[in-house]
Amino acid sequence: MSAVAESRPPGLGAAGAEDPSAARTLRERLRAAFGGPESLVFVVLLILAGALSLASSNFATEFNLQNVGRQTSALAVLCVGVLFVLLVGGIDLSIAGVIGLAAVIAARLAASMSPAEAFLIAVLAATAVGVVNGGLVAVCGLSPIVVTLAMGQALLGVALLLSPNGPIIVDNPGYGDLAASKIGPVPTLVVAALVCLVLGHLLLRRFSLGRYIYSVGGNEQAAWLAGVPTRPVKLTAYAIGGTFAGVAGILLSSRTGSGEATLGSTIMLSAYAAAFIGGVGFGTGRGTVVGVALGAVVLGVISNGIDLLGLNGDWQYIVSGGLIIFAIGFQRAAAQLGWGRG
Amino acid sequence: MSAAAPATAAATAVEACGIEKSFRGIRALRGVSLRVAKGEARALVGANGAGKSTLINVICGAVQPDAGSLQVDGRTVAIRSPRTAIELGIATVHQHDQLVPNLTVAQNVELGDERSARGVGWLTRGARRARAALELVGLEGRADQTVEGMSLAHRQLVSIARAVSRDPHLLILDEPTAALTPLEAGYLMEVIGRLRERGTSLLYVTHRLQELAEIVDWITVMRDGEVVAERSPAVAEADLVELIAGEGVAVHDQQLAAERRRLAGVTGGTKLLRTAGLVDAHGAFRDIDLEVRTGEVLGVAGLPDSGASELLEAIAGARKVAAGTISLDGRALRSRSPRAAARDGIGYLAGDRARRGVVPNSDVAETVALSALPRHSRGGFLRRRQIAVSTRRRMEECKVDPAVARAPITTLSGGNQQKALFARVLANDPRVVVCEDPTAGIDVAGRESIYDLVARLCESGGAVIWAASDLRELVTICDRVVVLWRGTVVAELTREGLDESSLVRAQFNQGGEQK
Ligand SMILES: Nc1ncnc2c1ncn2[C@@H]1O[C@H](COP(=O)(O)OP(=O)(O)OP(=O)(O)O)[C@@H](O)[C@H]1O
Ligand SMILES: [Mg+2]
Repeated sequence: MSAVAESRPPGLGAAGAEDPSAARTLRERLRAAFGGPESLVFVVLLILAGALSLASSNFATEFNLQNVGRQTSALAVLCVGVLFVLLVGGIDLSIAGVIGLAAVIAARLAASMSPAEAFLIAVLAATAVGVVNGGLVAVCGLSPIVVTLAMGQALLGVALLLSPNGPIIVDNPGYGDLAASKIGPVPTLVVAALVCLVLGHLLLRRFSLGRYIYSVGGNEQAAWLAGVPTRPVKLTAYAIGGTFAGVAGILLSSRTGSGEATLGSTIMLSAYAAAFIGGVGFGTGRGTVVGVALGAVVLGVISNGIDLLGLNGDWQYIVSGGLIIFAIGFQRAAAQLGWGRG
Repeated sequence: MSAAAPATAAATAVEACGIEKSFRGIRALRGVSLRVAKGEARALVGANGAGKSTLINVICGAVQPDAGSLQVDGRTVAIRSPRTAIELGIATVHQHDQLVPNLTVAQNVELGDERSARGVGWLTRGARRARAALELVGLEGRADQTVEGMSLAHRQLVSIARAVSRDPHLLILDEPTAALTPLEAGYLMEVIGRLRERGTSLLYVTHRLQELAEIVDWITVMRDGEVVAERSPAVAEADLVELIAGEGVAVHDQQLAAERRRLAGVTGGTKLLRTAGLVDAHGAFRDIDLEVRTGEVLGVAGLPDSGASELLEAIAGARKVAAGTISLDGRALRSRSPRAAARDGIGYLAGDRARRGVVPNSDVAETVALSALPRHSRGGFLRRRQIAVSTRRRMEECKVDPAVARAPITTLSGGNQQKALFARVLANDPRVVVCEDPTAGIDVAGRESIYDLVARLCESGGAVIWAASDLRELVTICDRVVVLWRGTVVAELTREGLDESSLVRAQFNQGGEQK
């Protein structure tokens, strides 16, 4: 081995063997900053927005943009929760039920207490559902699809039983304030969504929990051997997913001013659509809050554009479905270009 | 590095007493006791399936023993999870690398280490400790690269950096050098030397017995789930081999495999496989002109980034080339895919067993038969009897115990998995075998049988292209070795000039015969 040590030329370690020039590190840095799927979504968003401002003079108005913001905020919050669960290699199909449950609980409680208290309890209930989901998946080792599908079904029943006379109309005037008010020119809903997004981003990027979540999604066994408490991490991811679904539920409920058991039926698919458009991988431990947020905004802009252009609103589902396939197809192509170890 | 002095012999770093472990009736450990003193370096050797990795898994908390106890620093402890072991100061580098592909190198090094986070878990920036550890293994330049797509050797080094960054009391290394070239193995030896100066104990598993003398103080030999002997590193290699195998194994080390074949008049036949002006589509190598004759074993050497493994991949049809031709028997091969290559008689064994070799959800017999299925089916309908017969024969040839035919491949020991993969390549009766580290993790006896199989292939007019990180092995088995450096062939060493030190020099493009 001593011969080896002598024969190691200066600066030519195993890493340096490939030629670490300054230009390349710059390129690498650029690639690290803009090479992810997020930049693709961002470009798509810019193109969409540009096209819509040309097509309709109503698009780039303050009123319309506030409107888009209001429509998108609940979806964006829901997406963050979905992201956490997808990142640990799971899936949460109960979020539609959670949204309905949170809305019904908040609407019922608002009759006897302040809206803020009602909202808090509703969100805690949603967190509890997430903990149960997480426990069944992480501790009991049950299949996440089956567990959360069943949970969603059961929650729908609970929410329907809690609202026997159909949607609960809230007469507490403060209830709709969350949705109607603004902070400066920005709707409170948008601020709430931004707070959730920043919180999600910090959790994933700046806390060891986030690192653990990514590692469990990347290779659970490896993470476990490295000392990551994989079960608690998975459970926490589901709990966070439930919590954000609950928050999305109260945002939606505040907008409609009512508590409806089926409130979450279409938004769940939109949330997964937004996540996949935003570059989240299924079972690969890849995805960022920035990506899913952009995905949510893209969907919001599409549905807004369809309204503005006077098309039948149902077109939005076809467009977003097509967009998912386009997005993952594009990511695949990009991955193929970077194929190999070079 | 003197042998453990009597004074320190009293202090125990870790001690396992009467450990038993069975997997579905197979007794992997039968009352194993092992003690590593503080500051001691102990080697654990034994044949494939002897139970070394299982014992390590017990010590590091990845497997719970059925019976027996563990002591760390003189206290009896229950190690319920890898986390417990890490908290006790035991750091492990597993036989199959355990990194998270979607995280960066630095993130992988920090993973699970609470000291990289503060209070509630707020991650600190900078990650200086991770970088310092990466510097030790020469990978500081790649700290921010994701692990996905890195070569096996580099991933192995990252695992080592992670273990070292935790300042362990006991460092466990399970075949750390299996994929390393001498350069990287040199890094490892430096790291080990530094840790030992600080008083870290070491438990070291390897099949490369010649490494032991310079690293360890004591050698523990395991056989069939039991500890059968303890020796000092001064023991003669032949005695050690006999202890490991439990019987007299004919190790023809004195006579190099290549010499044997030449004496038999096998080498130097007609042209069999040729590449002309081969250029990789992704720039890993360029202008490769090779020629392999019947009866020849052509070695390919190079550092992990030299393009050697990519070249083998390309020859085997698993990688796109931008230009150049590959011809077999003077006929240019047109359609290129591993399947087409197999039909043409080229068998391929990739270097990264865990990720590119084993299909995890299949059993051993299915693994061995996989490549040969087209030969054993008509219109897609499988002839089961024929498959069973052929599979069994290949398993016997490659020293895979026929009793495990129906066991899931992932439950085999690392070396036994590798034997099954080699059997898979042979099962398709290839004329040219293209393989990368085919003996990685295989014990001495198994290696001899693979050398014999290679000799037999050569005698029957075949040829082998053999890439290896273990240069000593290349010297043993090859008739000729080409050395790659940054994607081009920089040296070609024939039998006369073939020895380890000239190979090392050539890998860095220093001296050697320039081409
Ligand atoms: N998860 C498992 N399920 C079933 N059997 C197992 C499992 N893990 C190990 N074994 C068996 O236990 C025995 C010991 O395996 P182990 O991996 O400890 O061997 P080893 O000494 O590390 O061999 P190698 O040198 O090939 O790595 C083998 O017979 C193996 O098949
Ligand atoms: Mg092993």
